[in-house]
Amino acid sequence: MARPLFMSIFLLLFLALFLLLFRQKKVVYQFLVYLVMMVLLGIVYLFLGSEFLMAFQIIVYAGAILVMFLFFLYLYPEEEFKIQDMRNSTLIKTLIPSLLFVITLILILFTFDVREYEASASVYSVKELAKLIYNQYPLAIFLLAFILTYPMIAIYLLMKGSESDD
Amino acid sequence: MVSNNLFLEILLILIKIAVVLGIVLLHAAYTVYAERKIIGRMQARLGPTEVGPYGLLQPIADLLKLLTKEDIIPLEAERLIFLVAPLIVLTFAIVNLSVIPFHPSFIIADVNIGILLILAGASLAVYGIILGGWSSGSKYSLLGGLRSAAQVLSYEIPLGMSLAGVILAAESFKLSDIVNHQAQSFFGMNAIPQILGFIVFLICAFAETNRAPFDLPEAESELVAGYVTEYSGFRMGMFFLAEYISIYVMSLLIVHCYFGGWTLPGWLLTIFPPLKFVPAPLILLIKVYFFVFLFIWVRATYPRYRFDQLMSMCWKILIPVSLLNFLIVAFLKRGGF
Repeated sequence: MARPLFMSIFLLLFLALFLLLFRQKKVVYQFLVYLVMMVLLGIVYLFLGSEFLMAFQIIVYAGAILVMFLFFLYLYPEEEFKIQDMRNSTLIKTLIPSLLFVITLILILFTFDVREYEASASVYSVKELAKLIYNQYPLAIFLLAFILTYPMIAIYLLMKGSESDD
Repeated sequence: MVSNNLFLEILLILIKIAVVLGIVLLHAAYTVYAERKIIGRMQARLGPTEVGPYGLLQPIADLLKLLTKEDIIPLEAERLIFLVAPLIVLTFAIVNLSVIPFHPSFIIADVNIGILLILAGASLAVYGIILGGWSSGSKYSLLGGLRSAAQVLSYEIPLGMSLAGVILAAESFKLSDIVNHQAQSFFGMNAIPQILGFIVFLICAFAETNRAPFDLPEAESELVAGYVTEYSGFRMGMFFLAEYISIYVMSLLIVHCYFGGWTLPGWLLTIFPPLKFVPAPLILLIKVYFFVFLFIWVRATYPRYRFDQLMSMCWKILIPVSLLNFLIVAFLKRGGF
């Protein structure tokens, strides 16, 4: 009984924050609302029984990628960019498709029979998890590894380039 | 009946939270005193001596001073974020304590992904520092915040990768399972077979807590006090409290992941059998105190790194070494060790 109730509260909070996101004029505040939404999404994953997804949602999205956005925002020299004064027509055009998406997502979670993910022993055993990943999803892992390695090599080359410039 | 059990369960969790918070906050306050005394002795000074016998009431005097000081908010500051930022840092520092076991039967939340939750908490705590730096409306604070973001983001990678070796060895993300695995292993601790991982983790722990020699975000000679420059009173106190709690969290993690937590190695018990009678919490406490002392000792000994040296060490040395450690663990595991 408590689980659906808390999940409903978090999803409604998610919707409220989404609407709040469009009300903010300062990009930094928009960003902060978005950050809280990412953490809330992690909590929704937790209610669906997917602890791993929750941890990675927070570590990767909230903890790493969004920090990069914030970094960019602070270093960007044009202050006008940091205050978005959207016209009403633009606001509606942006808001409607996004709102449709969020409401559909919430409806799916409420109306369809979204069963709690049944965590099997393989989820908590590193060996079983590795067997599953490397035997059933080798291509996906290879692509992911390539995508993750690419920025590291790029950073290295950029550093080398800046060192030779000095 | 069910509601009674639920009520008792909630009450038990609340009691555990109160006990852990009480102990850790008291420890954090007296670590400041210990740091001032130890560094004082290392620099041929006495440290605090005036308030109470041997200056023992100094932390209480400091606390009263911080609580009663005026809370100044600069005109240029983004008021809301400026007020909330220290709370974010403190909250996430405290949250990490909830998944760390203090005894085989004493843990607030015994979750399956304890280590991942600590990494998640650490990655969110950095927002408090960045936002605090930006919202102060000062160049020094902003630069301190940005330095912190770059530093913590970079050092999270080798920190996580060195922990991957520990997770692989124990085949679990649970801290209590990791401790039990070490107790049953040949060496009795991960620090010997995973010496590279331990060194990488130790260095990253200093960087993650923004402690010397990696205290660049608050480098006083370059940035006044970095992101704390515009803070005063109890809000500044919150930043410092979070820093000292983080020291305890990192020390506990080092002890649990590399030094067998509350257990002692089998070979040591064979050499000194009376050690079997030492209670588990005392073993944990002594190990944690040693690493807290190490944090203080290093601060008194090493000069601060330059920012480019810090980054280059992370990307060029620590990440490859942590990868090498992971490979070694994988081969050891394959060989049946």
